[in-house]
Amino acid sequence: MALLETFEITKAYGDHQVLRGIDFAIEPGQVVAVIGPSGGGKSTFLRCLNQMERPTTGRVVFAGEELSATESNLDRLRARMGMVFQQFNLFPHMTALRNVVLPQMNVLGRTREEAERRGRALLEQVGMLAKADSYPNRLSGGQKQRVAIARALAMDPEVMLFDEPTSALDPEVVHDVLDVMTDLAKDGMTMVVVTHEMGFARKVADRVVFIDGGKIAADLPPEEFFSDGNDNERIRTFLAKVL
Amino acid sequence: MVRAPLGRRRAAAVLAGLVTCVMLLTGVSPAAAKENGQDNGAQGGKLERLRSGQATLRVGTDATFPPFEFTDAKGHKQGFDIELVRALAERAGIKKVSFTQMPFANIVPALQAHQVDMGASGIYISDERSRVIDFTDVYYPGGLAMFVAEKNDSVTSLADLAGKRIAVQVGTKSVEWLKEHQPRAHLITVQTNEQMFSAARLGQADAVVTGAPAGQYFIAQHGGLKQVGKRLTDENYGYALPKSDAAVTAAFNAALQKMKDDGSYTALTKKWFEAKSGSGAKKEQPLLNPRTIVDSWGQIQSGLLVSIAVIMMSLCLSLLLGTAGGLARLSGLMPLRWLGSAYVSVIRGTPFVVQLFFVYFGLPQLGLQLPPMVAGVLALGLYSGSYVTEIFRGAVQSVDRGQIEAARSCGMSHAAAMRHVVIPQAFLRMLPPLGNEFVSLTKNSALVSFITIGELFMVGQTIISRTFDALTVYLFIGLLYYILTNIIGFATHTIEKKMAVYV
Repeated sequence: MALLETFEITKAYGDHQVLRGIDFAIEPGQVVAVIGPSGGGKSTFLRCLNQMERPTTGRVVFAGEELSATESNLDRLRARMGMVFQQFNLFPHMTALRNVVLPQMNVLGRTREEAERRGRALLEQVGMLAKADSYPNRLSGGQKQRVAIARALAMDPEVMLFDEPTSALDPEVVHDVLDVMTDLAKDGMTMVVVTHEMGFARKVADRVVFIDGGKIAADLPPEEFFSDGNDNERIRTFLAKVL
Repeated sequence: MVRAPLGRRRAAAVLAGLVTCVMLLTGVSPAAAKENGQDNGAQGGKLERLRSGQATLRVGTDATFPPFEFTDAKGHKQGFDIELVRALAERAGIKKVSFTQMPFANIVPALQAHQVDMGASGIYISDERSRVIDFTDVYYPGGLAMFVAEKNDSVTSLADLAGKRIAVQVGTKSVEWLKEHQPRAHLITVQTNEQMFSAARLGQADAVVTGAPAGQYFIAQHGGLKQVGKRLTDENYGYALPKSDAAVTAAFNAALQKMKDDGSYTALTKKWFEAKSGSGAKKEQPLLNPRTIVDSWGQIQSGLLVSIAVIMMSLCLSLLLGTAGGLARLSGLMPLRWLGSAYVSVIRGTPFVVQLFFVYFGLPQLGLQLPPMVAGVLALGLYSGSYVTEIFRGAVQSVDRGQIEAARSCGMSHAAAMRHVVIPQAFLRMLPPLGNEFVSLTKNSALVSFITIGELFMVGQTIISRTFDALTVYLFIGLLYYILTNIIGFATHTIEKKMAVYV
């Protein structure tokens, strides 16, 4: 059974139609790379999955429950879905460790001791334990993003949503973050990753979803998607530009 | 009141809620405030409670009018009215008397609002005043007279006042009288008795028209002026009381008659109205006179403490209201947002002094009687809170949206995200504008002197009314305010630096 599923979701900002009906499903343990041209609706689609954006029409079902408009239901389900942002969005007034600890205590009701133990373990997993007591303004972009991943993982999510996690990074640190994500995928995490990193999509993803013009234009295993035999004209044009 | 429109009733309810907040802050219960206030109930009940010592006779006076009433260097009220009222009260069997400082013009409104029980401030008995309050029998004959600077020979009669600048004290009889009998005089209206005489001495006015006894006393004490022409009116001083307290008025009249009969009244008039010889020609003073400050240091200290208390309490209230207002303006609920906007728009769109007077003199008509300190803190807190509301809202809105999104994506509720993530960051951004706002609040606190609170500025005025040394006193008082505002500036700057480790 699909862990996360969407039915015909659309999103419009006034007259501007961003999503034009998307049906999508991901199985537990799958890694889906979402790619496509800018403005095609990739990020909006991802943000609809945990209702950071409310779809104009259509339904999102997570673990058998519909993400409805009621806030308490939404908070409960969101706690089980991790999200990583392009701009990291670390809490600047807290140390790296405190960033990872706060949601655990506030949402999961863990004690400070428990939350810190789990927080330190996750910071170690992303290679950031040495910076546990640093404020975000002392961290590089790559380091911030790894702390942000640890913060999301600390909630023990069932799925991780990545919104262009490396787009704001200097090229030399992109790999630090991709390595962490690759390890996560290997450990069996269910992941939806909006990305421009074709290497990551090719090597790590189980499926590549190509979104263009607010619709899913292709949903293929990476070997087929990137194969020379793929005769989808739009995909060929896109790949020619980015590769 | 039964048919009061809904809007007014709602406004009253909102105000009552706010007032309760202040009362909680200042430890005054509404019941206690009520008890001190009016008692329109049982006939004669007031006099009995005064006689049993249950209630204190609260006397409103503008102690800047020697020899009737003034404040000495120790901050005690002195003068003919003060002593006579005490003597009369004693003879009437009234146990406790307290004097409250207030600007002359506010005494009659304060009586009507039952903020005080009696007005004793060299008040002329007039028909107009008698319509809204009662007077005792005449306790001293007075009458308006003209005074000019010693070297001025241009005024000898009422006709000479045409086209001249005449200093008069606001709310006094002179104002009305001159408008009627010498409409061509240009009136210069000042707040205190001292300002009136100073205006003539310093050449800011050509003449003063005021009660003859006060003018003669000034000449005897300080010199520099002379009385010219005949007395303009033949009038009488009386003590003012609310119309509802006829029994108290009668008790005072009986006591006055007793004092006249036994000679104690005459002794008192001799003591206060016969000029002390030798003190007439005051010697030249240096421009700045540190003695003025040293002699009044106790008074200044207590004024400073009152100012600090007013500022601290208003500051707390302002933060409370500002936070509540800010949250209301950011709320998802339309009515709350509307309430927040209305609060900011009304309070920022009207002068602070009007709000202050509304709270102190206006609300009693809605049955809400507030002690001066509560009214002052409430008005200052409300006023400043409207600015803090906007500071709060602006700071919260300036926090990046991504911060809320990150918190909510972890499953935190909107409230938790605000509390743990947004507001702590907003608070740091609020500090510099908050510092500015609290500096403003400190400066505005001087205005609560208008509603009888004996804070620094009022203390300054009473010292000047005794020493006539406006230059030294205002300079020094100004310096104290400057120090206060700088302390606030320094404090916010220090907190900001400490908190800003993460920026």
